[in-house]
Amino acid sequence: MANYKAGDVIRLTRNAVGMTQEELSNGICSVETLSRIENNRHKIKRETYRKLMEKMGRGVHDNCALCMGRDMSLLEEYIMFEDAMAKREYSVAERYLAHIREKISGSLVDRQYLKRVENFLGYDMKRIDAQECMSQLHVAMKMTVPDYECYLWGEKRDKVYPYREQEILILMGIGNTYYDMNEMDKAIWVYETIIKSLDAGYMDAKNVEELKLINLANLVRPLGKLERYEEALSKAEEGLDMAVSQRYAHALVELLMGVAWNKLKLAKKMEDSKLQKQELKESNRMMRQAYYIAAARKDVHNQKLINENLKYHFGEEI
Amino acid sequence: MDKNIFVENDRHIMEINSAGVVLAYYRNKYSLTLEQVCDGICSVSKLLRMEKGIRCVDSLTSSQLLERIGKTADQFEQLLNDEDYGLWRARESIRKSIQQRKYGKVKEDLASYRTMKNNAPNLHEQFCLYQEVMMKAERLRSVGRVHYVPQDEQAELCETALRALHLTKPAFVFCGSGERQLYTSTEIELILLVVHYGTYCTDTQTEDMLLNLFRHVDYYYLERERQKIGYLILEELIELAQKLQDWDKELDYIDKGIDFVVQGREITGVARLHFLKAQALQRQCGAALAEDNVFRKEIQRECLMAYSVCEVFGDVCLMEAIKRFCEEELKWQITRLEM
Repeated sequence: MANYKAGDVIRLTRNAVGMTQEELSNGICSVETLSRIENNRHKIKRETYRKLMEKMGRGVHDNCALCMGRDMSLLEEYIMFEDAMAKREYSVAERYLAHIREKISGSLVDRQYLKRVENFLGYDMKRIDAQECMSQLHVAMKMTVPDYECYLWGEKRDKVYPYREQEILILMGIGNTYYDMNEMDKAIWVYETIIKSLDAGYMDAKNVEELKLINLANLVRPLGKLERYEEALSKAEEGLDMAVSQRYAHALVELLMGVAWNKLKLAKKMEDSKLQKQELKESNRMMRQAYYIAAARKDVHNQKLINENLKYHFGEEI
Repeated sequence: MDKNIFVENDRHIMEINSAGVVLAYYRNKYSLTLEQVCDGICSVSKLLRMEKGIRCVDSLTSSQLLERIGKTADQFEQLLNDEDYGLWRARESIRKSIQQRKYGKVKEDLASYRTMKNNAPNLHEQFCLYQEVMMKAERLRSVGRVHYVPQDEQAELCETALRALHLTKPAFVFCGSGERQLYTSTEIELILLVVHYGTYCTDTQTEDMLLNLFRHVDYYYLERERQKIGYLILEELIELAQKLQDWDKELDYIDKGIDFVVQGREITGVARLHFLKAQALQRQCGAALAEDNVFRKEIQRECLMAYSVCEVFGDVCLMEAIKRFCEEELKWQITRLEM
């Protein structure tokens, strides 16, 4: 569950849509007040926030939240659904989704949420193909950021847009689908855009760390496929350092494998045979570490994948 | 002043008094009485008014009330008023200094925290005492690695921990504490330290109490706190089984611990539990180990899992212990990560 710093969201949105502080504050508050709000030095009233966001043509958080009001049970079902998806227990996830569908309101963000998760589930269960998934995610994204393509690929691609957590999750789905469709450049661009937004600091640190780790792990894959091994290695190492310092186990095995696999690819191109041998040894060791960490966490899926890699690249099996 | 103003929350926007809404929901869901939740923290009428959205309590009170039902305040939107904001920031800063082991700074900050005005003196004092206990415990742990820990220091730690605990659980006794009691994670951690460093009841009573606490955490707690506190309790249960030389029970608790920590998203406890399992298996097998290849492989595998985690996370102490165990008991070099 993400929390956002109001001032940063306003400042980043204003920069993204290309308005000056004078233009935005006119008729709502003084320029000085807006400036203080943007620097997080002034507590903003909900009403002012709404007016400012509306003036920039953005949705307002009052109708921008899943499971409004007092329905806590919906929030619980939501957590269970996410948990089942993470464990790849799709039939369980489907059951929770049926409950969520019954209870959820018709608000814009609730509909966006449903569109996102129905798509993820349908795609993971192979009920829809990548093409269909992509077009549905595109529709979902447009529900709250109608001009998102302009920020993603278009003339405003250099701006940082303060995407909400839900929007970031949809973008991650878009990135993953591009990867599956073998459109690696697009996948890389999407992940990099997400990371750029996460680095802008408008979201609370705990959520940012978690999302960034997963996105770094995602980014490593297409970079590797395009044989951009050095970049892939540096991203995997960045993610691994983050996971280690946060003592985080989630995405850890993927990041370790990212480092090991790209090290291996770089080593194979080396001319110095002594150095090559050393790098290959280190890659092998990291794959073994990844395997045993996956085993320690009872992650059968990754254990199998790593063993296939060990067999293919080193002719050995654990 | 730098104010972090969080206004939005993607998955859930609740009314201003969000902690009240959450408390009312879970209290109802778990069929708990008002007294069970607020006992020692605030009055029944205050909690009731809070649930109805009439009264906002300070952020420490609301976070402790949420902790009683295993939820942490950061899972829900928190809107702080200006007076509360200063206290909240001071607490965050103290917690950070504790993490960074800047104990001199913690002591200074605690002294100034105690002079700040608040509406819940018992809770704020418990917060301060808890930090002091944690610093003492850390010191004893570091001394304990090398030397025998003096009895009087252990007794002093227990005394402070009990004083802190009694601020919100005045009637707490170690034998026969009630099944229907709810505990904050602060209270549980204080109890665990007293269990670890003191002797206040029989081993059977301690085990019952620890199991009771574990059931509580397993049922109510979520996310990071669930993994952290659940693991701490299991660690004490394992130690108790070792003390009683009940090896079957020890292995049961270790397996329970592994199943428990791998559900979480953090690495806490994973390496330690797998190493404990290796040691427990080795103890069970005894002299037969030399002939039993299957058993030996299983122990090696447990060590490899623990060792790999330590190597990646840089836990040098545990790594050394695993290495030594493998050399001495298995006559095997683990460092190549091969069986």
